[in-house]
Amino acid sequence: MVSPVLLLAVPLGLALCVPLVGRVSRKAAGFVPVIASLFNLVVSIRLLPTVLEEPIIANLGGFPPPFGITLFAGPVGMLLSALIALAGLVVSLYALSYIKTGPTVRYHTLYMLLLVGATGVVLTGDVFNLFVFFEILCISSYALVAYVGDKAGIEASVKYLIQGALGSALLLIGIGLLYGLFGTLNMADIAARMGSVDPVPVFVAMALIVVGLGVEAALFPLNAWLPDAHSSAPSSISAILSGIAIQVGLYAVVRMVFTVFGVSSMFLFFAFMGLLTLLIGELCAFAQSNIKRMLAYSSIGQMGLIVFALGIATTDSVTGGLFQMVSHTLGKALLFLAVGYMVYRSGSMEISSLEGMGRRMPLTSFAFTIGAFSLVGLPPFVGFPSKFLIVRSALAGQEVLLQVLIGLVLLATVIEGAYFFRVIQTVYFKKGEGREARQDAPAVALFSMFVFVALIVVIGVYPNLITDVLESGASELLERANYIGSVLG
Amino acid sequence: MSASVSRCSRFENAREDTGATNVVTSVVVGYRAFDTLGEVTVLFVAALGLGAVLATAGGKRGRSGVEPASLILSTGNIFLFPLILLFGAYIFIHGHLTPGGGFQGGAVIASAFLLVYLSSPGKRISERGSSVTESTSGLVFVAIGLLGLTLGLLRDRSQGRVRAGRRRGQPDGGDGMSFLHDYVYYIGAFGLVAIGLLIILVKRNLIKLIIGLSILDTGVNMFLISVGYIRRGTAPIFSRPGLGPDGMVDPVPQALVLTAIVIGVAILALALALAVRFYKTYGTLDLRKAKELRW
Repeated sequence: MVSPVLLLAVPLGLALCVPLVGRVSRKAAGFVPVIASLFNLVVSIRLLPTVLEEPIIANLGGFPPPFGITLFAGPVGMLLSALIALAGLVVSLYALSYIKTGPTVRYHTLYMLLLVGATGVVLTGDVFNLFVFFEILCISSYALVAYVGDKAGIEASVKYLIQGALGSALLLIGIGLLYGLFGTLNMADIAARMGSVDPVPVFVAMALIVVGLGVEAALFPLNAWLPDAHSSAPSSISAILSGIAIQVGLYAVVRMVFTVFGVSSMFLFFAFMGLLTLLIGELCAFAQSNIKRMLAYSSIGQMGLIVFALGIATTDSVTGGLFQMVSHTLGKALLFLAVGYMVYRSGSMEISSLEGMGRRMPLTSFAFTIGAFSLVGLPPFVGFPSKFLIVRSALAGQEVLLQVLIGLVLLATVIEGAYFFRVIQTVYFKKGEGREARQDAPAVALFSMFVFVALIVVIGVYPNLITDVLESGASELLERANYIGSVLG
Repeated sequence: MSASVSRCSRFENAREDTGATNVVTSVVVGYRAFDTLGEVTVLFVAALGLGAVLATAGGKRGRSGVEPASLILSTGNIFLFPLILLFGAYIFIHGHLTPGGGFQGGAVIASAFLLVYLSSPGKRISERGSSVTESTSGLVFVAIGLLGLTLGLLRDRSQGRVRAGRRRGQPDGGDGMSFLHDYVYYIGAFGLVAIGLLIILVKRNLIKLIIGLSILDTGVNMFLISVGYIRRGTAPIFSRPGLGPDGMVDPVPQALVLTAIVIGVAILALALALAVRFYKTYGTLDLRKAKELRW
């Protein structure tokens, strides 16, 4: 059997190889992330059927909990690690043509390490280890946001770093409190003893940890850094930050709240916070004239929707939330990739400068349109079944409160539709001044975009392809007794 | 948190498990070696990030304008350099038996190189060499880990080992326990955290913000250490045969703090590099002057 440790060790080893490969050939360095992501994708997909039956527990170094560090590869972990590997693979292909200037070898190394950090967060079963991998993810993204080195990039990176470092400090205090209370760092071990201690310090620890992780997960009101960072980073990095990094942050929050703390009384609060995040994100996105900022605010909105779905905490709604994570990764990463070359060709991030792009870059514009339709939730794209599942699960309980809330969610979707259609209208139906020659994105970039397009359509038409994984993921999150039992035996 | 009186007793088997009498070292490079690998990775990320942030900053100007060091410094360096190296290597190699270890030994060795850098400003460390060393040493760590994984599959260590059990919560003897004595470290730690938070909230000068972050980090680290402390506790080192874990402080928080310090340093280094870039771009360190991104 393949151990899930390989999902971390092999990419990490390859990441350390990138500078050595870069000494020989700068061009070859760009292919290392492709190989590593491909490896992870294959291993994750091969392990998926196994973990659907029973999660794989790896005690690193052979030390059982609470002494050593445990990796927990369940359906959620494997789903997200496959998603990270998939997005990582496609975006690293895109970067082969997109990242031409600057210290490219360092870019590819940091990019690899960002993916390693993200994979580590979703696989670990130890709170302190989660912190360490979280920091690998965050520190590499601080550096990558400043990669272009222009005024906006530096400013965004500084803001991101300060808010992120503050969040990390709070997270670490929370972890210290947990250790002080329980004498262990293993998530399952902590969860098993949750009832045995005074609830007040536990609540303080939870508040610190949720706020600390919430900065990266872009939960309102901790997301002031996000529009700056996601709009100023190179577009390939924006795609990964929006598609992967914030979702991994959200996963960490969910894992702590659902599994470790298991506080079902807080779930409705999270649903409210999610709704608030959703409405604020979509309203701000509507007000933007800068296309990348618009997409960044839209990511905040999408995170809100996912939190809302998870906060309802029924099997269907959590399945819907996980589904929405998948569809957001595919859709938003595609949008950022498409916009990357549109902005590159037009030389400006203003939406008005995209006039006539439908004729100038027809394939890229087509990819953008598919991504936008999917995010809004139009059939037959992947955004439709995921949003549909969330709405259906909220209405299933016949609760008036949830029906009112879902009305607001639908309102947010209308706003989302409005700003995306505005961009599509600009791209296709407004004629740019002068007739520029047709000049689409390079073949590699187009190929990577159309991988996402294909997945969006295929999963949109056949959602049953992944619903098994999503459903067992939902039950992994909701049934913490099983989680505890499978780790502690 | 007086419940943590005998948490060290869980590590009674540490010597047999890892072959080290210093339990902190056992935790850092044995039980929680994966964290240490992550910590090394964070350092690697910070070094790369620093390079990426400063790469476009416009050339490495030679240090030609720097005054040569005084005779005392350059002569003293000749004597001190090998001694410091020797001392650092000793702390490093002896880390599993006595206080110390890779982290502390490494810091001492690094200070020897800093001294060389100060005493002869013309000297430069080869960038190529250092980046190759960085990569290969990281690779060796991963390779050893994978080797262990392969060997571990042949011989499962978690089988057939009965643990002493998790004895926790032995109540404190209550020998004249004074409130202040038990909580003074927590008060100190949260004082530092509060000062750090205040600086971050109030100040708008980037360097001051970074100082605030540093103070905040120190407070958090002090809190972590206090969690494992017990009154009149000794270092968790089984230096003599027959020395039991009673009265020893909890080794886990000490190991965590080593990792947390390194991560904190990595963030600070990147923050300072960004501050350099910020100053070069905007000509000021005042964050309010940066108005590139407003909606």
